[in-house]
Amino acid sequence: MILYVINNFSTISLALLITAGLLGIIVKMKCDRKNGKSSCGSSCSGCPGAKTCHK
Amino acid sequence: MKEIKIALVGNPNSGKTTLFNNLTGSNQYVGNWPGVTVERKEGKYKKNKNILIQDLPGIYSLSPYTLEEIITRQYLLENDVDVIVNIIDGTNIERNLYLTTQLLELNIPVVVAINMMDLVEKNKDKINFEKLSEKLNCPVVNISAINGNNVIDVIDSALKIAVNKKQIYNLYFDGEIEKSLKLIELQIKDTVESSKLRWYATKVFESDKNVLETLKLNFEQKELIESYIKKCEDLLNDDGESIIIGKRYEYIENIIKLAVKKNEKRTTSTSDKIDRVVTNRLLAFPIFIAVMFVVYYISITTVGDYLTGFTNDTLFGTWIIPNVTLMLEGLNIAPWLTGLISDGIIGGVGAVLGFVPQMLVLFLMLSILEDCGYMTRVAFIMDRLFRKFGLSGKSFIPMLIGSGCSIPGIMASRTIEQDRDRKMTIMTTSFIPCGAKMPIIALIGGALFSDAWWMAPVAYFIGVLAVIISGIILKKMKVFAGKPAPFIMELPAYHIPLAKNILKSTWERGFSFIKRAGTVILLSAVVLWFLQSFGIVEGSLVMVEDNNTSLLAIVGKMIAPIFAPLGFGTWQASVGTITGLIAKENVVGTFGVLYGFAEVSEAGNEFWNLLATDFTQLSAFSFMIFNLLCAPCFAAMGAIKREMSNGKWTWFAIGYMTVFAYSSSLVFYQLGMLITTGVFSIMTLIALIILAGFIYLLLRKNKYENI
Repeated sequence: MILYVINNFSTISLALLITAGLLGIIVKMKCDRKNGKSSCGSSCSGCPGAKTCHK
Repeated sequence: MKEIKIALVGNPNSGKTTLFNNLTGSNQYVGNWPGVTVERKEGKYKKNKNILIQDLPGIYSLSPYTLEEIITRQYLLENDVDVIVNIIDGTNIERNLYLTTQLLELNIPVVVAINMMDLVEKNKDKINFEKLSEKLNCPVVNISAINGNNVIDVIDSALKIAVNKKQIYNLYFDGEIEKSLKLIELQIKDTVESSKLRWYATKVFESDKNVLETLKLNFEQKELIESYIKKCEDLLNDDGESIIIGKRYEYIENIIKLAVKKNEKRTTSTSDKIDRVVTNRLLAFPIFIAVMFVVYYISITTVGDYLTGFTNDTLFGTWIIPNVTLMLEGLNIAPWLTGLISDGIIGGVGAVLGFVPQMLVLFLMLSILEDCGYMTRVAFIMDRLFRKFGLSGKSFIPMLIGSGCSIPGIMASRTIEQDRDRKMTIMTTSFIPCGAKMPIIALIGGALFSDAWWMAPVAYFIGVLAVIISGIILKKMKVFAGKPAPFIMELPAYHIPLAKNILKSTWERGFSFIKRAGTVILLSAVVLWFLQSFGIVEGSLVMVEDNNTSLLAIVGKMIAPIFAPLGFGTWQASVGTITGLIAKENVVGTFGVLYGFAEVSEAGNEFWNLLATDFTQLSAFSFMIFNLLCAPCFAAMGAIKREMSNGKWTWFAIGYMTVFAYSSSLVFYQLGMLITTGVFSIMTLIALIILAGFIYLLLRKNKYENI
């Protein structure tokens, strides 16, 4: 087991890093959603109805 | 220091948001057409955080005819506003003062800020501010919000009068009107705040339905009030509202005579000269079409194409992907992880990011058109066309906004008062290609039409055509029947676009796409990579060499028959279309993963070449039509749901778009096949029946024309 980890250390580290990054994105998107932000392709200051999303 | 609430109130396009940005240091979007500020926005004065500033939607009066008027009026009546800063367009004082006379009745201290003084001076008009201040009995400040001139004086004046909460009102109506107002005041004095008594009395005299409902008067009071109004109306031979309007304008006229001197030698302005050509009955449409062709040509084919080529070939193809792959190999990373990073993440995200330069150039061009004032003219021009099939130019404003992103476009439809017109606008706004659809157009144009210059403008006008066809078809349905509402819009003077405005608007729109590429697109790419790299072999989940045996291929092949009659029945195209519902640019991201953007881009545009083998020009164009017109992304569907406030209508809108897109693509592809190959199949027959149906729906008599 330890030998496997040592042999694949770089792969495991990078995989963990990417998993953490992906989880971070999911958490951020969930938070945004909770705060009323959608995955809209416009920024709020460019939106005439920005207040509707952020009550 | 106690918190002070200042409300910015004024006519549409008088410069409220520009002043708001100037005072708060905020970056609210400044649109050069009325109705950009649909909701109120709040900010703190940058030099004193105890001063709260509200940017309210632009209004012409405090009558509750439009959503903007309702929002602004409610805010002023229901909140403890310390000072109203009434922004007035100095080039059009007379009309702007109409609102001022109503604001003064609210008994809230008012500071009048005469804006656009640079234009007033250019026109050589003279305004006597002292006289104006004396007559209105409130401070008058001259400003140029766009240049930031004297904006601090507005706050200084506001702070001075905020202490003295009482506004001394000096607009008195003569004789019978004043007598009636006093009698109404006596009847309602116990039901309203004493400071707003005069305003309520005037509104009751005007028979303002909302105010009458709020007051909850008893039968006797109502009878008495009606008799007072009736007596006055009989005497002056007009209705209550018109009497008040007439008297207000008489009052304003007297003020103007004393305080404003217009330059009589003024010749036709440059703006008017341009408008003579640009809004000319015959030239307006050809000019609009030419302008949009140039905009999309420059964005997609020339500058945009060069920048996208650099991003795809050099940035990703030469610099990022080979070096990342080399580095991963050097680190002895497992092949599956290298595949995930290079094919999945970089492939998916890179395919989308490659088109960002084209999007940025497009947004820059559109921002220039918006900021200089041309787009406002387009709404005016389109009003003539839209009116013919039952919509007004007001419906085109959401579509103009929607060319960046459909969501704010859909939201902007709330300014349309008539429910049926608003619903129709919501249903058709996303037909206009948003920025996220640009990568699809550019990809198809680049891969199958040798970067044809006409692809992007044609895609734009397909959207416009879809709106027009839908308008004609839907207006003949009972639920949408009725004459369009009158469309009144000021055409602001043309001006040289402000670099700050256009760069900000371009960056904000562009950055949203970059941000999405790093979130939604990245996650989708990872999931897609997994599904297209793994398959079930002999009952176990294993990595597969050929993605035709992958999990994604299994799912894609189940969906593909639905799209086969449209010409793109491959599982890759079907998966691309479905993932486009997450975000439209995801169609390109999906192709990036499925066709191996990362592996092949080192040798140039091979990703495009591989894509081209799965399509013909006809099927690719059909694919583009379907993806342009079908149901928008989930976020836009959410916006539709919010604006419709009704589940059935939401599903009807989404269903309509999808059926319309499917039918259009089917007719295009099948008839195209018939013309190019001469093959007549059962699908050709179905396409001909659908075409006949379209023609019937377009030409049939409108039974509800006179509703």
